[in-house]
Amino acid sequence: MKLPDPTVIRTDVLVVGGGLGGVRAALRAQELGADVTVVEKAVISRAGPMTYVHSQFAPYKLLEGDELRQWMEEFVVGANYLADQEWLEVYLREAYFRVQELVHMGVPYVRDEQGRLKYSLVRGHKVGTTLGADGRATMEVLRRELTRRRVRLIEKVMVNDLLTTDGRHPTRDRICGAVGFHVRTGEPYLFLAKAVILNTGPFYPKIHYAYVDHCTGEGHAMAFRAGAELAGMEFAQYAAWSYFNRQFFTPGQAKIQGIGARFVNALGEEFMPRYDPIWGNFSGLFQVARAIATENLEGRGPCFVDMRHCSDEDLAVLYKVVPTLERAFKEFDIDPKKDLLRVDPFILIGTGSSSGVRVDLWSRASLPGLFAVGTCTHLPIMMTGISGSSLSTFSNVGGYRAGEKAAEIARQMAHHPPHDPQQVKELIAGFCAPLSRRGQTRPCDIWMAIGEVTAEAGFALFKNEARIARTRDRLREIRHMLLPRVTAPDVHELVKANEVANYLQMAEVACEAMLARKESRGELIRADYPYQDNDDWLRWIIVRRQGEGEGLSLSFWDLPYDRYPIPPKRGKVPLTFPIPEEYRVAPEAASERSMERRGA
Amino acid sequence: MIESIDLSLCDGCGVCIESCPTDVLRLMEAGKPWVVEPRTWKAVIVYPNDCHSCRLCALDCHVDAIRVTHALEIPSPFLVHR
Ligand SMILES: Cc1cc2nc3c(=O)[nH]c(=O)nc-3n(C[C@H](O)[C@H](O)[C@H](O)COP(=O)(O)OP(=O)(O)OC[C@H]3O[C@@H](n4cnc5c(N)ncnc54)[C@H](O)[C@@H]3O)c2cc1C
Ligand code: SF4
Ligand code: SF4
Repeated sequence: MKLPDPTVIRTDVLVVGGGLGGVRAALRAQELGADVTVVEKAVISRAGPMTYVHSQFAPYKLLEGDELRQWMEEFVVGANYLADQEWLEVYLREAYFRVQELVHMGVPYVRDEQGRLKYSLVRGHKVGTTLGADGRATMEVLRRELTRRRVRLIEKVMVNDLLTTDGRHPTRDRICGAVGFHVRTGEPYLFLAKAVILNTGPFYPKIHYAYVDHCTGEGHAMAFRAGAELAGMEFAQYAAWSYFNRQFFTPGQAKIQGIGARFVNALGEEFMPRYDPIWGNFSGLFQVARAIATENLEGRGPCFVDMRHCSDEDLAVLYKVVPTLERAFKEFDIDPKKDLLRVDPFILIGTGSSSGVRVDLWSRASLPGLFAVGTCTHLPIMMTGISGSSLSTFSNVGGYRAGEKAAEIARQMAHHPPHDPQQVKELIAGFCAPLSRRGQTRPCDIWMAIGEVTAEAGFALFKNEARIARTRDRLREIRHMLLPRVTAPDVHELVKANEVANYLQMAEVACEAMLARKESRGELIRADYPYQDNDDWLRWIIVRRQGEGEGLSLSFWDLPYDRYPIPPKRGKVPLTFPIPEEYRVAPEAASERSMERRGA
Repeated sequence: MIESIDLSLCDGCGVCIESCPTDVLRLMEAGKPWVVEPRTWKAVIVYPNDCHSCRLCALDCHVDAIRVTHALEIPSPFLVHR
């Protein structure tokens, strides 16, 4: 097949992905005189993750001294001691200014009767504050700002690979651009840039949950292929329980717990206190999902959420903050005062808190000319532990910093760095390949196979060495056997074929990182290491490609606690979550059996 | 899940097509093929299985023609199993 010549766009700074982080980077770089292009797979302000956001972390004043330390401590503990405290300090100091700038641009933050910004405490925090704002409205304001300042916007174009000056992947030199294609016409695009900033968001499988089906990890995967370091990949797990009656889901899980809902199993027992004696029904996302799955596994499922005892006032409050819930109840004829709601949990490989491109204090990735911001980074301020609202503000702060440095690079370079036309040809041919294949295998078949492999209880819930290795091998098999057969009858399917390829590559890398962390921490539970080990494991796992083949290089970065103000609690902390007998004693036999049953 | 677009209301403005992040919708020429004029454009659901129920299309439709229900099916292999 003869491929059309790509549309060529030359720019100083290329921003890939127009989430909050990317737009902030673009605005800052433009302010400093750079010529900036933003390329977005969907349309800015109409793209999943940010439209879901309702609160943004926002210190109500400039933090200093003891107060700064107190805020830092909250994060460090919440992050299970894996946060980079230098990044955290920068984050906490600059967040105030970055949010104030958004206020000036006109982001409609929630205000009180007197018209003052209405700060509220972050859930579970003693000092941290947030501001409410509709994410969609926030992005509309920012998009207007981009067009007002005449930043070049290229929407509905999916970027799939980075260009390198030496034409190699992984590169020994630098990044000099990217290639992608229009998601409807298939027209290839070639971007030549002095600096590239990735902001492609989290990575998830396409399961229709939480509006992130179009965020499948291209940024992660393209950085990885080009040779950049990734970090935190062992925490790449996402859990949820708010899939109701196998019919619908709504956001606002914590709000449902907040009005005193109870979790009960098929026997009518309230089971959460058994799994989490302290928090019980108020327990965290992962704990609840894991507990429900365990109840189901041990034959006490299905499980339900019970709101029958909740007062009308409480329900009214719930409906006010989660209007979709009320609408869904109407649609499915559910009366929470009478009916139990069945809940099905899932735990999958995807962005939970942090897992992505490793960045330094200036959002620089480990390759010259490459930056990353937002949820496609390893979120150095958290690493593990979920703190929803701080993510958007990390995009805000990190984006601004990336824009600043990228503009500096652009200023210093008189000319664009050279690119390799052969590499461009090969990359375009690579992502177009499914168009010219024949056969029946479609991207959705690959997603099904991935689901089968990653949702197996022994892997999803109670990992151990052998089970992680097996999952990795099975994912690899899918990549070797099925992926090369994927066909795309049209451009829409071509997008999906490339998406699933990127996700698959990252899921495999995540398994490698999970294997390397020999303890349990945050989202990672290992049945063979059922404790958090603060003596040996206050370190990050860094993954990158080794050579052009499949080889991986894994290394560790010990957190420099001698330089950090907040000391860790040393020692081993045993896991409190009870691991079922079958996964504890003879883990191998257990998952062997399950494989047989499913005829694998 | 996107359920329907009321074609008697849709005026083919094209806004929803751009709003959809997973590119489920397309604008198509509607009408009887043997009638040359007047041809009109309408929004059509082309890839319903890729809808992730975000409602962005429905929120943006100025004549409220799009119906998105809460129904959602998480592909069963992704639910934790043995
Ligand atoms: C269920 C859920 C709830 C959340 N709730 C909150 C909350 O309440 N508060 C909060 O602060 N944060 C929340 N977050 C996190 C939130 O998504 C991020 O804080 C926010 O979206 C900013 O992320 P970002 O800057 O990384 O960009 P994103 O918003 O993730 O945007 C990434 C952009 O990249 C585009 N893109 C992806 N791939 C490509 C490609 N190959 N080529 C070109 N463009 C591409 C996407 O279309 C998208 O527009 C939530 C996330 C989820 C999933
Ligand atoms: S936004 Fe409404 S009127 Fe416009 S094309 Fe879509 S359905 Fe039709
Ligand atoms: S609900 Fe969202 S995903 Fe579904 S068609 Fe509308 S915009 Fe697209």
